[in-house]
Amino acid sequence: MKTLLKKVKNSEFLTSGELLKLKVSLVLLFLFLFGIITIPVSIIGEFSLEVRIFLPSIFILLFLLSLAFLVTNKLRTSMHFSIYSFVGLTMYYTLGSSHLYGYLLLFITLTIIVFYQDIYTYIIYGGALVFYGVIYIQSIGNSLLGIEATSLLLSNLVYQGLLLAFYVIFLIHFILSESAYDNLNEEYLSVKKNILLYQNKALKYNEELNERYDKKEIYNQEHFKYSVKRVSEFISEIYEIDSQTIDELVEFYFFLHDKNIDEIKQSENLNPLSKKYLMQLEKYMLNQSSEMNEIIFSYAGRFQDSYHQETKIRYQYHINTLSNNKADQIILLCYMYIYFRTEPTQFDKWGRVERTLSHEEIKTLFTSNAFRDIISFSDMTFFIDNEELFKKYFS
Amino acid sequence: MSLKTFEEYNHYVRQYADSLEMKYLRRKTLYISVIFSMLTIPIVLALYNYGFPFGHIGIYVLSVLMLVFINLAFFKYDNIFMDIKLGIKVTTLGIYLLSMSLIVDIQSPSIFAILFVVYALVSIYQDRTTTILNNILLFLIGSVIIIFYPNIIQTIDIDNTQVFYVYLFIAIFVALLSLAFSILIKRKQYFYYQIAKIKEDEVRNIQLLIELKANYKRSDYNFSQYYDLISDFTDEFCKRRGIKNPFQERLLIINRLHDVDVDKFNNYSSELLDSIKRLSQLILKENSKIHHLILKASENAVNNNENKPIKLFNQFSSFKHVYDEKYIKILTFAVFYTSLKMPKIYLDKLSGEEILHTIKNHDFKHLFDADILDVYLDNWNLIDKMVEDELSKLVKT
Repeated sequence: MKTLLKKVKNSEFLTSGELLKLKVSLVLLFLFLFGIITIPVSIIGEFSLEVRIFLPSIFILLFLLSLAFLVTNKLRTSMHFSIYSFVGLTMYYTLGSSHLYGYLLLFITLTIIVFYQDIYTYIIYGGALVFYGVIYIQSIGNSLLGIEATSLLLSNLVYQGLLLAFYVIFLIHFILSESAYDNLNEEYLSVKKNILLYQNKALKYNEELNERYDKKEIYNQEHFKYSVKRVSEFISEIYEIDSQTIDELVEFYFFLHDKNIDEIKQSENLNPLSKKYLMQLEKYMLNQSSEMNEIIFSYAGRFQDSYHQETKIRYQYHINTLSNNKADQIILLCYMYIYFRTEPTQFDKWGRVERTLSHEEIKTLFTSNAFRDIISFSDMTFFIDNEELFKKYFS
Repeated sequence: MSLKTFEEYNHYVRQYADSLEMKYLRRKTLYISVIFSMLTIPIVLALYNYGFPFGHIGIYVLSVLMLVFINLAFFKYDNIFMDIKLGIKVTTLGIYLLSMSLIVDIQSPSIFAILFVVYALVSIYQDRTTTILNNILLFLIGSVIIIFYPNIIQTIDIDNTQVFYVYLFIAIFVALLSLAFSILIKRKQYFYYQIAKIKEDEVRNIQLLIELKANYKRSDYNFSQYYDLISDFTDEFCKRRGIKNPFQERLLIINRLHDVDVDKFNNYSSELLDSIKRLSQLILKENSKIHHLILKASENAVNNNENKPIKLFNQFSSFKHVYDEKYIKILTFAVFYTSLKMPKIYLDKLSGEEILHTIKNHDFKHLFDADILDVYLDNWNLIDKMVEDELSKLVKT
């Protein structure tokens, strides 16, 4: 229980798999408690003998199956079975009773489905449950009438309408969340892609500078390797895990820095264990754009003094955010052109960042749709109209 | 090495993450107004069918309009109604009070579930304090109705267990949805933070690239010559068009401001100071926004990735991916730590204390496996000494 609560507290750092496991565990816990508390209802409820025996047995079976799938890490299946268990419980009460709580249980089951935050599961199971709920109200509506109620039709409509409204509002909620998440995710990945591009260039500059100053890359320095080995061994000892394996892994890691990983991956002679480690280590290599370098650069970047600008426009890179004045924007456009023509910003055929953009390349760039995030359509038109002047003065 | 830039980084990230949250919250006020207004239509029809007088129905409609107006005001006029969270709380309270009066007015168990619908509606905000308020209000109003108006939830089939079960259901409903939204809100805020972080990381990465490039070029960027080139260009452009040259004066001022600290003009009139600040935005310097913008723009070039294709391994980079074995997690920690102890062109060697401070007090701690982080925090001195010993041999050789 303590571990569960700790996981809820730190749920933002869980992976989607870990999060699903947490959710299924919580739902099963609720299901267990709910079953224990509400089973006494069956004693006083007006259930037929079949319902009394059949449905609780199904419920227990579904519950045990959900638990088994959870333990064996079949998380999606476990999630589905936990929903079936709750649906089973709902049907148990709605079939056997004509009380208000049968109706309210429909909301609880919808809540369980909402809890998983999976839009398709919600649409299918939630939709089916609401459909069942509407029919349920239609058939037993008279026993749900209030003591002061006068119209059965109106009472039924209110019951059904509220259930439907609850379902639709959460559906809208899901759609809004998904669309906001998709937009942000797209933005995130596009910036991440850019960062990896900068990283490629930064690594190249670093490599060239090391060569110039006759310095070895850190992954080729024996002291670095030995130091990594010692720290790894030290932590392994605390864990009391096999230090032989960690030594071999350190060696393998540095060995990979001299090799072409893609070629090794294709090799048929590679044993499965090495291949497994290779796949896991690839993203931590120091000699290529990798998660390791991304984190190191992110760390190093925090020691960089950057420009100061209010947060509202700090991350906007359209030239309009610097000035709304047309003359100013033309000056900015000229800067961009001169920079592209005179400063090396691209890899040359030898893999060095030594190449400047040609006029034609800049024209393609300026007229591309993606570039509307940087310059406006009117800026582009200005460039096209004065292309010869740009060429004459800035090339 | 100064940790001031670390603090600045955190400041920008926090501010941007907050602004993202506000942006989406503001948008949600609009959605809620629309849904709330639409829900009012069937409720008005129900009230009419229950036989309520028009005046009575009118009060409900006016109350709804007032709440919608509050929401829209917060959506549209963010410069006046800045504290959107206050607006959200007022709306939440208003919606609950309206639904309570509906339940008391209609006196039917069928309308009781409107509390759940209201809960669902308010939960769209996905705001931490509003969610707490949502839970409290549902429980409180549910209790008031069950205790003070017990006949409302009594159906023709009266049963003694009913009150207990209605209470139990409300408790389960609130507990489950509190958990669901607590997880959802935490993850949403984490995602906002990640977006803000990666945006600031981009700024810092570009800055690193600029400095590495300057090192590689062995010379400073010579941006002041750009002004002369642009001056000639605009001269001919204006001549051809037969118009007065609006660029010359600007370029002259920008050129003069190039090596001047703009803050020294603080005693000028606000109008003049604004103009100076606006033009200072156009100064192309090594560490200026324009330089960042141009470098970012250069990544859009078609042939950019010819040399090394980029591989995206995971959405969020870390040293604790679930599918990685413990050995890998240990090794990557050791590589990361040792690399920070090595002097590099773009980052000086860091002391054990500096690394400890930056890992312990900043988001880096979330990148490591919790157990490995604990080992490090308990033994940081020892680990640091171990690495120092090895690296000092490098210095000696």
